[in-house]
Amino acid sequence: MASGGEARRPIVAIIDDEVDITTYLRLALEDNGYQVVVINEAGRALERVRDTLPDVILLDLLMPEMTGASLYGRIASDPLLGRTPVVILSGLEAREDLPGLLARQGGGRPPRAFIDKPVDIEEVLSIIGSILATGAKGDAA
Amino acid sequence: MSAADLWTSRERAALLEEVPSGIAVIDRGFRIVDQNRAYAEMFGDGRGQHCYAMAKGLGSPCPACPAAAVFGDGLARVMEQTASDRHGHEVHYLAQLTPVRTPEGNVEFLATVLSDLTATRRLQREYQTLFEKVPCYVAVLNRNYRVVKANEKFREVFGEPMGEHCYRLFKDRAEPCGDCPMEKTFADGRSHSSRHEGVARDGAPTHYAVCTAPLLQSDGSISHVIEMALDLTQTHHLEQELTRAHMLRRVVIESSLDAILVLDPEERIVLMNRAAETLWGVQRDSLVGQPPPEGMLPPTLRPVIAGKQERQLVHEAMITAAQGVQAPVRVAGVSLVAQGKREGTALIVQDLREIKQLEQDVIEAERLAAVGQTVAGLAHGIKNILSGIEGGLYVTSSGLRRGNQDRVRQGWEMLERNIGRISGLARSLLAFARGDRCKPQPIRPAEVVAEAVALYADSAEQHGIELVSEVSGEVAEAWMDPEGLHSCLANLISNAIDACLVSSNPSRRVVVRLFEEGETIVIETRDSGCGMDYEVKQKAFTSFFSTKGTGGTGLGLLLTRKIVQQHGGSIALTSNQGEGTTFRLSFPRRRLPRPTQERNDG
Repeated sequence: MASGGEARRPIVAIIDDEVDITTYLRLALEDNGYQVVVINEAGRALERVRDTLPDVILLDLLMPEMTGASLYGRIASDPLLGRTPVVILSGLEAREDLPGLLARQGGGRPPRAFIDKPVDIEEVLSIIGSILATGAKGDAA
Repeated sequence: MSAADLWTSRERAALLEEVPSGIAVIDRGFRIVDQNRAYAEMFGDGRGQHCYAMAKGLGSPCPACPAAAVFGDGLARVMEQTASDRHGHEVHYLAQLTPVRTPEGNVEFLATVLSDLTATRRLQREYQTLFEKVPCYVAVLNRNYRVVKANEKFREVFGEPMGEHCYRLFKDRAEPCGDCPMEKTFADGRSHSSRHEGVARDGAPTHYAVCTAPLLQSDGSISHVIEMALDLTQTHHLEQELTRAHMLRRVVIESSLDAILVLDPEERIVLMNRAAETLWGVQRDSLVGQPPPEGMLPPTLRPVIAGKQERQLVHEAMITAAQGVQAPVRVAGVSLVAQGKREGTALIVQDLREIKQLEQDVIEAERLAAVGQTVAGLAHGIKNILSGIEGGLYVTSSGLRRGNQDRVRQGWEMLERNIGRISGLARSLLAFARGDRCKPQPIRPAEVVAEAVALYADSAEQHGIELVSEVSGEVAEAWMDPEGLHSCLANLISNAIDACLVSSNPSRRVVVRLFEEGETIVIETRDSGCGMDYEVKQKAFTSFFSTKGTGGTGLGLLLTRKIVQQHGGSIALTSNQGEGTTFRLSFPRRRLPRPTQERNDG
């Protein structure tokens, strides 16, 4: 979705401890008309996301203290954030059971999409674009 | 005077007097008119007395008095009688009553001649008792195989025998047996013996040994055969059990996969099994009776072989096996004592070569699995760097497009940083690859633990973390690589300190424990730090996985695990988020690297 003048710019929250990756994604998304909130620490991530109430969350799976999987569980079961679409960023393509694991963590609510690292920015833009086009309601499917 | 003239009535009277049978002459009034000494010895002086008073103590003639009959018909009579002697003892005798006729042919007197049967009767009774009570089967058989007499034990086991055929009684057969000792005795008049299996009347199989003897008539012919059978059923069962036990022992010993050796108290070989022949490459015939050759058994077995120890287990020792090859073995020795007397030593020797090889194979397989995980982790690390480089390229090129110098610089820095990460990664990989050698030497694990703890003492104190070591008991020397073990401990302690640093837990404590548990050396590091959740635990041993951001290479735990595996050990972690983490390194002694061949084991 390109910038549309007065239209509210959608907010994307990026949760990843790799500064280079968050910088890359932030600049690329901003260049494409999104507002971006970068969260580099998992410890305070839930609090920050609740403050922001983003339209889409990009979540890295591997972080200190709390991993993406348990953070996903908290987001998915949060009353404020439960319906926010989450896209998982992961270098763990070897794990075939990942969607199942995350669905269990999220109380039966699976992530909206998975993106493998290294990220292809075109893929990120296309996935976010289609999620926003379907609308947040789509997560009930 | 002729000889006949010399034989006067006086001599006759004297002869009558000396005859060993009691003789009395009785008149028709049953009075004793004369008696000899033998009669007097039996009944006392009875002359002038009534015979019934003397012999029976009666006041009138006995009912059915034989003397009266003789006086009546003049015919002699013989009968057995029982009476009381002059001492009141019962006497048995054979009484022969002979009429004494007057020249006119009248019977005025009779002579009674008594043959004492008391001793004979007593003997008869004794023999009868012996016959009945002897603890074997005794039967008297006639030529027709019929039992005419049998003792109590016979009747008890084989039933009422009178008139029955012996073959039916003994064996429940309808016809004579093939090998019959009775037949042989009837044929040759000699004793015969043989062993038989019969059937008791309750149907139980009975084993007995039979001995036969002929019963001769006065003309020397055989009237009957007496058969005496000794019950061997119990003995037979014992024999069978013994045979079975012996067979079982032979089979078990012979088919054992472990070498079995038995030494006598003089330490000479008395028994070797097939596995022993294979292990030492010898023929048992050449060694039985000899002391075991040098090197055949570990010298550490002395106490049990010398009888100073009841049993002994040598976990691992080297011996000289077939073809002079040094082989690791495990030996169990047991002192053999029967009824308080030392009979020697039994040794069970297990060849450990195959097990050792399998263990090596397992260690190798684990090592290969670790290599696989390393490669997977490497790919993951490279992907992260690639993401950073792609990001750098995007930021640089978009900056150039827009003429945004800040953005160009930012992108350039990203590129530089990620190229730097590649160098770091390459260096770590080289370090990981270089540490491939494990150089074991005898070390005291407690010393290595103390050194590693000392290394981090200052750093822990600065951060307000209590770092302590606990060594339980004596952990004996072990063949380990001191540098490798030091790296492992340094790594785990540093991780534990880091975990405490990011933890909100007010008690910051790291404990390093060392102890030995069933021949396994155990080292634990336990921290009260932040702990790990499921996902981190899953990934803890993955290379390049780090929760320390740019502060960790992601190789520490992997390297630690590699070193532990080189020692044949294992690493385990238990952790609860917010409660802390424990790493446990276990080194089973039997899996520790062995100094090749010349190891002198105890």
